[in-house]
Amino acid sequence: MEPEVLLQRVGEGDELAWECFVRQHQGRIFGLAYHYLGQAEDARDVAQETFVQIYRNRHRLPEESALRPWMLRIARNLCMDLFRRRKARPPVWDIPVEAICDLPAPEEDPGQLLQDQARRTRLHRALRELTDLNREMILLKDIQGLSLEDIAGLLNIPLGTAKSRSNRARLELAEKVLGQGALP
Amino acid sequence: MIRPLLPLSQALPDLTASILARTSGPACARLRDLACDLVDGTLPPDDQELAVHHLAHCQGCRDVISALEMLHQALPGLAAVDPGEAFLAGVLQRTRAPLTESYRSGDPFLSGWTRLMRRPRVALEAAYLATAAGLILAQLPLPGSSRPAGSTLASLVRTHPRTSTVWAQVPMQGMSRAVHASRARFLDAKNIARTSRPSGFTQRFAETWQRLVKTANSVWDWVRSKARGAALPSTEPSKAPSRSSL
Ligand SMILES: [Zn+2]
Repeated sequence: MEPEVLLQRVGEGDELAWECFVRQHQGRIFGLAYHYLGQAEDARDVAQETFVQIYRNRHRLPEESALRPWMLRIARNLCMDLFRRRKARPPVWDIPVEAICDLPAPEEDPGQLLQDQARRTRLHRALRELTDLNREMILLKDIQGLSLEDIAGLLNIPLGTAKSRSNRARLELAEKVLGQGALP
Repeated sequence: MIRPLLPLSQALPDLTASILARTSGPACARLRDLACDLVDGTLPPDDQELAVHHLAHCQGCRDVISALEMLHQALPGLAAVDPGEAFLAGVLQRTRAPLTESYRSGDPFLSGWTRLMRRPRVALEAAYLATAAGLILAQLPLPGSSRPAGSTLASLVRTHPRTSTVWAQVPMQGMSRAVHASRARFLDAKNIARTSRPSGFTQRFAETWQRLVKTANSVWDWVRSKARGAALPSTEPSKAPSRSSL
């Protein structure tokens, strides 16, 4: 089914379309919350609340091209609300690398699983060594695939700042990866 | 004595490096500025040509570019993480359509009510409130009597088990009058409130209240008719069928 048709069906209140929609996007929304919060339980709560908010606004969903930034913005705002409620930002990503890899990405080719898990472990280890600011840039741009314009809007910073921060974060991560001794 | 010559390919980079060391310094920092755009393919052609030229002679920068390319390929694979089997069911449970319709209505009273009713303990709470209300009503004295309705009813059941159902009508009628009187008082209070503060909420509350009163009245009438209907056969033990059962 074309994404636009699915969105239209969701807007019309078709329960099957909504179920399909949730299945399509749950991994990404949960992934974002998980990477921000570092705890699966909190991330599940935030991801669920994100979908509840999406559902409440299903009659005015943005068009397909703007959907992902819109959803990720909701999820990120909920993560920030949680941080505010906790009064302090906890050490994000401060979770055992093995725990992250225990949650494989959906539709994984079983033959590739071990190799991919090893690569993910090395990547997560390198990511954990980044500063919070750089890690967030990597998460939004390189992991979640948001455009620099979307990120500038989301973080309320000028486009040029977003671009230079992104480049700095990527270079820092590349050097951390090289510092591990081998390319993953 | 003539020193043996270095191969040309080895001698020239050494020469370049020594010249750069004495002039601008190595160009690696400049290459790093362009590295991300190079990997993304967004570098202007002239810059790209210069970068490729540098890379041909600099192993360190080649490693950085390789790492950036690997990250470009691998990082999107970290975006989606499986939230577990129960996640979807949880979302669907929280987004059941009939409940969310009233969320959407924008009516704070309705959406608040919907939220309350969504709570799984609401049935338990309703039963608790109904029991509490019943106990309070049973403690109210009947009009023209100093004894609470509950104890009157209990003593009737104890002393006249067979005829208590018909006798129960007497206190029930008394209670009906008491409820009616208190209802009138409540409605008067409502009318005063309505004239003094005619807001949208008051109007909605008044309409809801009237609906509640109407429902309560019809339920009360039904209970009374049932009690009257049930009382007849018990007092005339099965000689002839009652009118209501014909
Ligand atoms: Zn270099």
